[in-house]
Formats: sequence, structure tokens, C-alpha cells
Amino acid sequence: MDDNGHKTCISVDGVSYSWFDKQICNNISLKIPKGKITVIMGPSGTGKTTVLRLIGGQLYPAKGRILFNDVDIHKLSYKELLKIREEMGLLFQSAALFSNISVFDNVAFPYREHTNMSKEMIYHLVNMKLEVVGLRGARDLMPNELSGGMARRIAIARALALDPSLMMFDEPFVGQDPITVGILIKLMEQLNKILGMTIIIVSHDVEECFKLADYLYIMSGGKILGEGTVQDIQGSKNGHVQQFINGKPDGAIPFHYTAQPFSEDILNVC
Amino acid sequence: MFVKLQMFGHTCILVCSMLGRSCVFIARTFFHPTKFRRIFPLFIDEVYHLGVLSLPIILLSSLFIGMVLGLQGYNTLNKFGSTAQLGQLVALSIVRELGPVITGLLFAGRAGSSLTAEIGLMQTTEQISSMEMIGVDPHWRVVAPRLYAGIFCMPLLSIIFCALAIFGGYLVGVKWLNVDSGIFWSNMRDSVDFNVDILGGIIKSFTFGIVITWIAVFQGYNTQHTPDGVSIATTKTVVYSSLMVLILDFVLTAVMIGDW
Repeated sequence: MDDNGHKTCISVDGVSYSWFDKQICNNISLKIPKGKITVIMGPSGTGKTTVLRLIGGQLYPAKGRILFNDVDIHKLSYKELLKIREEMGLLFQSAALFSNISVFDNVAFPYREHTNMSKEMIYHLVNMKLEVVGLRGARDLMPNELSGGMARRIAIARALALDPSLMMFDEPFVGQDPITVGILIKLMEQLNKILGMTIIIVSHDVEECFKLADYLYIMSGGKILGEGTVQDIQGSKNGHVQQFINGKPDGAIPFHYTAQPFSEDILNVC
Repeated sequence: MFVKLQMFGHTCILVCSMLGRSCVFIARTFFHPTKFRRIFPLFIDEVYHLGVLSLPIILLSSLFIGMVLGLQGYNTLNKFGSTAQLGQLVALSIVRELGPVITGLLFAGRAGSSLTAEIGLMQTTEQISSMEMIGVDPHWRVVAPRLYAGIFCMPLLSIIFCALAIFGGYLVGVKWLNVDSGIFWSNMRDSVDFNVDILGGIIKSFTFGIVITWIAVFQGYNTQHTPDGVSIATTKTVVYSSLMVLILDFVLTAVMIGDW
């Protein structure tokens, strides 16, 4: 249970993760309530996608633990991990469709691997999922015949195939036209309200995320800088948070990657 | 001096670590509780991609290698007046050495590189990661069918190579240079022993099949997620596989001869 009495779906407790010498996540703690839409926002390269991969068990933290429905993800055997992932859906930033099979086969893939459904039943279910994302007519196309936005929508249909209880979206609005963004927002709201699906969105699109979020976390430099409802975040006095949500070029979050002073670089060359 | 020693030690550790990881990788695939009934269609697909699509290059190369061997063999044997031994020369050279080795090298270049590029691209485009997130083990779905198909196809391709290369030698020796057909075949039949020569060649090609496919799938699976990662992995597959074929050929020949 979190402070507001909601059951917790994901609990990230003091997680740190490093890639070689670079610290990506530094002692992060999050609570993702069940049946709510939680958004993790922050500038590019701050470790948002890493958090999703840690939750999915694709990366192992150096410190801390991650609980999914009270099960420690990183203490499971590989077989148990694969099993628990049937409860999760992850939309990758790159869509990650299987390039050698058609759109239909991509969406049918989870059914064929995890169920003993008849061909007819799979056919109807795949059509239903494709209808939800508006691409039933594209079922016979190959992934290389799709635009970036279409590929992302097909990937959503595939991720939703097994009706997971947790759905994670990694930058779902990038590269989408305004109509598709509107449809995606509506789809996420419906999944959340009608099916009670827990949704985590990783994004840096402030406007869209504010429309959707029940709860937000703002990340920068591998740390959580602020958290709360949309009102809490908008009213936050934290300089980092205000700089990010208002898109100010100058502020506490540096635009430049850490480097020695430019003058030293010039003088060293001379 | 100390820095060089340090670098040498570092390289040794890296090589040992890579060997260790590749052994764990192959063991994870071989000892995976594979559902053979479900893997069979994927295996057949891969037999087509690795075996059937490699046939043109194998057929063409084998025919010309057999013809060159027939021509060179006739030219040399003719100096000693023993052209009757042409069948024996062609068959033994091909069945014992050229068949498995050249098939191995061609297989590494054609099928090994395509395997690495395919799996490498799946890695860089996150297809492997997404498969894991769907709850499917890529070792079962991606690696195992390709590995088994490679091991299955390599001896078959080697047998086809040997048969066609001998036929090439026959075309040049008998049809063109007028060596007696009966002598050509009977000398070949007398000198080639099934257990020693033919089985030896099959064992070699089977071993090459394991090693080439192992290197190819391992390099593909461990491709760096960068644009040039796939090209580096593909190059490594061809170089390592070719070297391993030649080294293993020597080792296996030494073991098979045995009475030094």
C-alpha cells in the first residue's frame, strides 16, 4: 500500500545501476500504484528507459530491489522471470517488431508461444487488437513497409496481446502525428479505466503526460528530483522541476555534458 | 615493459572470459528443455536458409574444384605414366581433405556470416529484448533452431560437395583426357575405405558444422549495439570460423592417422 491507500504494483527501493564507470541510476525509489497511470519524466539520457529495463528484469541493479506484485524480480530464476513477464507489456522506443514476419504474425506471436488457441481464435484476437490501434487493414504488410508511427502502434497491439496487468510505454509519443498522439492518449486512458491496467509512461513530452498522469516522477542525472500529482509538480518550488516542465534553457539542469572549460580546450590545442 | 605485460594480461583475461561466455552460451542452448515438436518448423526454415540456399555456391565450387584436381592430377601422373591412378587421387584428396575443408570455408562465408548478421540485427533493433519481454527465451526461439540446422546441414553439404567434385574429376579425366572409365572407377573403389576415408570426412564436416554455427550464433548474439557492430561481428565470424576449420582439420587429421 502507498501513502494514499492504493495497492502497490511496482516498488523500486533504493536502486542504483551503473554502466561501466557511469552511474545511470543513483539510489532511486518509486512506488507505482496498481490501476493508475504513472509517468516518469525527465530530460534525455537521465536513466528513464533504464528504470523500465530494470523493472522488466532485463538489467540487474548494483544495489536495491524491485518488487512486482510483492515478488523480487531479480531473485527469480530465468524461467520464472519469463513467466512473470507474461504479466508485463513493454513498448520499446524503436517498436522492435520482428522484421522477418508480417504484422499479423507479429501480433499473433505471443498467442502462439504462450497459448494453445486454435488458428481461428488467434485470427479473431489479432484482428481485435489491430482494430484497437486502427491498423487491421495493415495486417498483411511486412514491418519494413510501415511508417515509424504505424510500427509503434503495431508494437502496442503486440504488447497488449496477452492483456498484461502492467503496461510500460517508452517514449510513446515520439515521432507520432497529432492525430495518433490523441488516439494513443485515448487508448491509454481506456486501458487504464476499463481494464484497470497499471500503466507506466516514460516520456519527456510535458503537455501529453500532464493530460494522462495520475502521479508523476521527475528524473534528472539518475535521481528523482520531484514527485506528486500534476498539481503538485506544477506548484513545485524545486528549480530543476520548474526548469524542466517550463522548458527553460538556463537553470539547474545543465544543457552541456560535463566537460572542462571551453577556454582550456582552445588553449590546450594552441 | 610493465605496461606491455599488463596489456598482455588484460588481453588473456578478455579471451578467457569470451571463451567462458561462449561455452555457457552453447551449453544454455544445448541443455535447454527444447520442445522438439514446436522447434521443428523453425528448424526446417533454417535448414532451407542455411542449407538449401548454400547449395548453388557449393555445387558450382565443387564441380570446378573437382575439374581442376582432375586436370592437375592428370598432368602430374602423366609424367610418370600412371594416369590410371587419377580416380584414386581425386577421390582421396576430396573425401579426406578438400571436401570437408572447402565446404567448411564456404559455409562459414555464406551461412555463418548471414547467421551472424541476422541475429546481430535482431539485437541492435531490440527484437531479442522484445522477445524476452514477451516471455519467450531467445535461446530456444532464435539460437537453437539455427544451431541445430547448421550442424545438420554441414555434413550433408560436404557429402554433396564430394560427390560433385568427384564427378568433375571424372568429366575432365575420362570424358576429356580419355582415361579409361573402368580403371578410373575401379581404382577409386579399391582405394577409398568407407570407415577410414568417408566416415573420417563426415566426422570432420560434422565438427566444422558445430564450430562454425557456434561461432556465428555467439558473435551475432553478442553484437555491439552500434551501427558498425553487425559488420564487426560478421567479419569476426568469417575470420574465426575459417581459422578454426583449418586448425581443427590438422588436429582431426592427426588424430585419425594416429600411428605416428
